[in-house]
Amino acid sequence: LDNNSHTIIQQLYKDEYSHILATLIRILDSFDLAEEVLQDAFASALTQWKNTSVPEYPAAWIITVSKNKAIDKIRQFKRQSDKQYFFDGTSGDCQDYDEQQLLALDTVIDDDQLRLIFSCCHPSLAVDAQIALTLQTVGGLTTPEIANAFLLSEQTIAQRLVRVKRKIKDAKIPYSVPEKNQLHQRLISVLHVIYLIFNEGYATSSGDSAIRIDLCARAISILQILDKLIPTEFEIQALYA
Amino acid sequence: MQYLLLIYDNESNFGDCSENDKNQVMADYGAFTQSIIDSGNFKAGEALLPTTTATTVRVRDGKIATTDGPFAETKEQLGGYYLVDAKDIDEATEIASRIPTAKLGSIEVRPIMVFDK
Repeated sequence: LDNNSHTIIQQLYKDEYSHILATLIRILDSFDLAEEVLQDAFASALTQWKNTSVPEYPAAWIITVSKNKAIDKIRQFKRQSDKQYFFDGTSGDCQDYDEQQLLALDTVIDDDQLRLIFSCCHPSLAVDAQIALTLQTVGGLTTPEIANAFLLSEQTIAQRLVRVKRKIKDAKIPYSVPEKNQLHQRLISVLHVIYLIFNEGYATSSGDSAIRIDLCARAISILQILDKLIPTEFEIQALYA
Repeated sequence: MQYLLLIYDNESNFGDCSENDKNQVMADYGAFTQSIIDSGNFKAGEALLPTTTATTVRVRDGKIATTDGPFAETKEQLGGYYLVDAKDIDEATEIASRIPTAKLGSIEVRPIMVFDK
């Protein structure tokens, strides 16, 4: 049974991590906080499901636990009036808003994943940073995995990720799907990032071949998400081919 | 959120162009400025005299040293700025793209730092 719950959690992480993360980021207005509570929730699952049985809807369980952890964190911040986690760090109102939104959270929204992709591939971010961030948040890869795939040190990737998240917060990169008149152009830059990820996996012979293949698979799965959510754009299908 | 839009251009371009062209540029800027005043984004904005008029100040060991010229010689020089209020970087870059000089030089969009109270 122990092994069984472990496998379920691994599968869940693979299938749902990015999905749940995308919704948490929108509501919490923070990449860092969203990642923290989601990681905590998975950690709780590891310890709790070992002792009890796996809940009937494991994804829903993770969402609920993330939600509660986020509410705890927000209340904690309020007490400490430590606002560094929040977007503008100035108003107390936005934190109340967070909590109301959080309480209503019980399902994830597909659109959030699209918001996440466009946010990660925003042209104001350096291309290297777009790739690393997309792999981490949309692809669900860990920092060591990304470092391995690009033959860079873990520290380099970690710094890149910290810097890019800071820029998203400081420059106020929006967490939204671009307006219609911008959509096409922005989609091109998203596809460019996916292409680079795929290429990195496909064309390079160096490094651990399993991870390389994984990069191709991630690129394709991100493409599938896009294809599902913006079905009318032929470029997606073209790149897919 | 406030952003500073820094207008960079090769300043000799403006000196070289005809009286007619200069008038056109001024008219374009007038129309652009009015448009962002009307939309409520405008906070401030000025044009600068050329870098030949610049003085750079440094204090080292308590002594003030002033030198002629800009901080660094570059191909494009800071020629002016707008301070705008925008909801996010996308709105700020959209405004920046309408600055007439965006067609010739480049505009750097910099978020204004907010200090915690």
